[in-house]
Amino acid sequence: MSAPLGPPARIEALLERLLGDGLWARAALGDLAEAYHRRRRVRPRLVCDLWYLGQALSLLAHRALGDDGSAPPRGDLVGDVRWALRVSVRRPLLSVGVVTTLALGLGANLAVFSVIDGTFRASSWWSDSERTLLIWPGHTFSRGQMSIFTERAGSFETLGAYRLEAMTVAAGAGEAESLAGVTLSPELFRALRVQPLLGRAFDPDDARPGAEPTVIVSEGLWRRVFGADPSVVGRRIEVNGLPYTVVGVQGRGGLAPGTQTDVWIPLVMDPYDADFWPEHDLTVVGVLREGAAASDGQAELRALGATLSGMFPFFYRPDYLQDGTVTVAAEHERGLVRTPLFLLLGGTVLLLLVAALNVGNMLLARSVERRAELAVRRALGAARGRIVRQLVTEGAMFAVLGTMAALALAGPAASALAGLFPREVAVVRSAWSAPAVASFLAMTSLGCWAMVAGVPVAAFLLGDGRGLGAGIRSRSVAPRSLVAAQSALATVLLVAAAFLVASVSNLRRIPLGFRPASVLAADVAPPADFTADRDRLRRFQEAAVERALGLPGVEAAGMTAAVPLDDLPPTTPINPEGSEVDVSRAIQASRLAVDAGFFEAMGIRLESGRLLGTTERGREPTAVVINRTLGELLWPGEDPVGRRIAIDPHAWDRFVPIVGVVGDVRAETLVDPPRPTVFVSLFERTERATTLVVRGSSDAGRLAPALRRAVGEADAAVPTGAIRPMEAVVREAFGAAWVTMGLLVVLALMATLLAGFGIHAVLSNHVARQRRDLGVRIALGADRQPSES
Amino acid sequence: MTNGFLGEFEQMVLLAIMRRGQEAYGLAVMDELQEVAGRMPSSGSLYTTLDRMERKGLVASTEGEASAERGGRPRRYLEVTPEGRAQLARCRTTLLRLWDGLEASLDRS
Repeated sequence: MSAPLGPPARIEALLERLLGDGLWARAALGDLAEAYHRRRRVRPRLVCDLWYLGQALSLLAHRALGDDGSAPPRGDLVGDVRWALRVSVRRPLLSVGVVTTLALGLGANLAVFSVIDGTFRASSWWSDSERTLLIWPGHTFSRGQMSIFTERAGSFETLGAYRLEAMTVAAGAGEAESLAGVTLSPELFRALRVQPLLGRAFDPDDARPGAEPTVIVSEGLWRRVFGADPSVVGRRIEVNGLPYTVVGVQGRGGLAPGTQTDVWIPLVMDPYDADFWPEHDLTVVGVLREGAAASDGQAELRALGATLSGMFPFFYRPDYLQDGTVTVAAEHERGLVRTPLFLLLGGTVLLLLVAALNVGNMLLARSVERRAELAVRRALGAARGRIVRQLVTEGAMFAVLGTMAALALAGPAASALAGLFPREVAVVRSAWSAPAVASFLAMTSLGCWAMVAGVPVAAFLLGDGRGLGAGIRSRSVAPRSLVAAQSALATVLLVAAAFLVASVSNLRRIPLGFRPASVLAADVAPPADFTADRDRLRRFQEAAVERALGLPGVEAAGMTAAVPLDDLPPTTPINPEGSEVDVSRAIQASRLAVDAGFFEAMGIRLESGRLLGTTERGREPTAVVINRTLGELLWPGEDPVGRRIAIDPHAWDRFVPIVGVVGDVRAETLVDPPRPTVFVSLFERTERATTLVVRGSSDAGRLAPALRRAVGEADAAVPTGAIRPMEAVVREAFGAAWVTMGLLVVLALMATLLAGFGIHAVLSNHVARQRRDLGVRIALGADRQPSES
Repeated sequence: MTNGFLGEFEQMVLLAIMRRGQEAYGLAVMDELQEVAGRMPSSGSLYTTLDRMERKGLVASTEGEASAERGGRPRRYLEVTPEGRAQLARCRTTLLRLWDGLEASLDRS
């Protein structure tokens, strides 16, 4: 009978053990059980359990603090603190509420602030120097351009370039795996003053044509594959199927981008390499000479454009690079996260204000209850100053406890926050124990203390010596204005969150041009010798698609050289037949090499004509598909199918028929309008690093292991790199907006919840205060429907 | 108390015990305080106060019957000792003396 209505067994057992077997302990436990039993008949279980927990805490606290809750405290600080502790355990739930609220408000602020401080103070991988510039971020250059730029740009101490790519790495007996690699100029290592953990950095000799190939591996790779063997320097490993000598191990941080890079190889400047001029795939970084200004660098970039269009009018239009800009590299990265981070800080500051007001409200409510206690102490002769001092000590205790809890919360919260931001935010990190963070914490904690101590002190001083009526009046005005301020702040946060939700959902409404749901993209990067063996490469690419199609649950599969929203395809000038286009003014279009299955796998709609078939596989392009934007640019209002264009600047009069037009795809960012694009057959080009795109019937995630096996079966020498759902790629394209929206919504909900608690506290106090009044009136015969109170 | 006066809470508890008479045990005292004084003391302060007052000889207690809904634990019945009554009376007299002639001033506020 007693079991279903009995108090929570675990708490009771714990209490029994902690209180011991004294007479009063047994009596108290019995009374509590009986009271719980009574409550349980009329109240829901959760409410009773909470009540029981509160009573249990109170028993334990009194036992721990020793006897005598009613004796006036000792006159010194120790006495004040003991009194404060005792008073706070008398209402354990309220005290826990105060500390938790403060911890949440302070912790959220501390986490965001430390991430901001880390981002804007700690160095990004570009080094802190204001002289390190990104040359036209987003624009890529060829090695040929680099060589001219290096020769002519006088305002730069160093110019270097890098590109990110997947590299196939085989070390020792281990299987080959596809890793994130960076190819970069040795000068960049020196310019950024990067010192490897082991061995040496690259030097210019490593980048000479014909030099022995060298590689630097990451600390992570060194530990994982080489077992942190210090003799790794000098060993040979295979990168993209060729032997490389390990010259160094790069520690975490310092050189990236991001922390995910595993291998670095030098950018070899071989003018006889066929790709030296045409392949525009390098991001250029420059370090300004002492005394040179960024504007000098910018002028030189524009001069480079003029030089290039003079040298190669065929490739570069006269305005080439004339819009080019240079940006402080670290500043460029920070710029990507500045708005979201400061928006978040604004949100957490508002939350802290709401939290502080809420705490003020709770303490005010308590000060109504403590009226009698304080009045008695005043009557017993305690000076006003003495009581104020005790209230201030009490506030300090809450502030200290809240700050300690906030410190415990903020560390993990800051790391989680830094981890939430997508790839462009390699620079976000939390920096602990920085002086700025410490002073921010001190400031906010002091503010909280002022709030936590100030409210009860004000209530006491207002109520004291002016009679009960004055006290009550002032007390009912104060909580109301506190709640009004709280609700207003919470509303501000809610509105801000709503705006962000609206703008993100606007982003979501942008038609992507493809269907990312249940599509997987798997990077496959055959070793470099496949480039020489075109037949083997083609056999592999076809076999991989075929085997992927054979997997259960796969509806469509295809291969592409660039994944929308993830990779940037190269561009090419377009010459429509019969229109006498001035070469230097030709339309530039993205050139995407894909196979026949790509369109279906990605869910790209065919608008007219046909898709690339399986017949386009000679050495020269025999047919192309274009997107709607390119069609409208070339022949507005007409059907481009059947017309011919030239896409090879080396063969400006070799025309290829357009066999189909497909819908536009957001390939670069969500907001930029779709670029004109021409799709060529993958098999008519040599694209070594490609991506296998697979559309599954339902849960694409489960396909990943089978897909890996299928690629291995197609050619054992080819490892599978990263496999990611297209939905994740799209989510990443939303960038920081998505994360910021989510966090701000959480903050707004927390603020609203706190404001709700505040309103509840004020109302229940109001009712509690008026209960006796109302009772007396009813007893005197007043109508039960109150007319004015 | 050093000066022989009872604290406010002590007085309230002693009075509540007397009001409940034969039926005075921990929970009943709490109920009484809640009903009459509008103040629900926390368990911690009630039992430490009872413990203290028993040690000072103001309160005596005897073990009562156990029941299932108490988890088999006995009630502890309370009684105010003659010493406790004497102290209550002294407090009351002193307070009344202090209040003498001041009642009218309360109504003004």
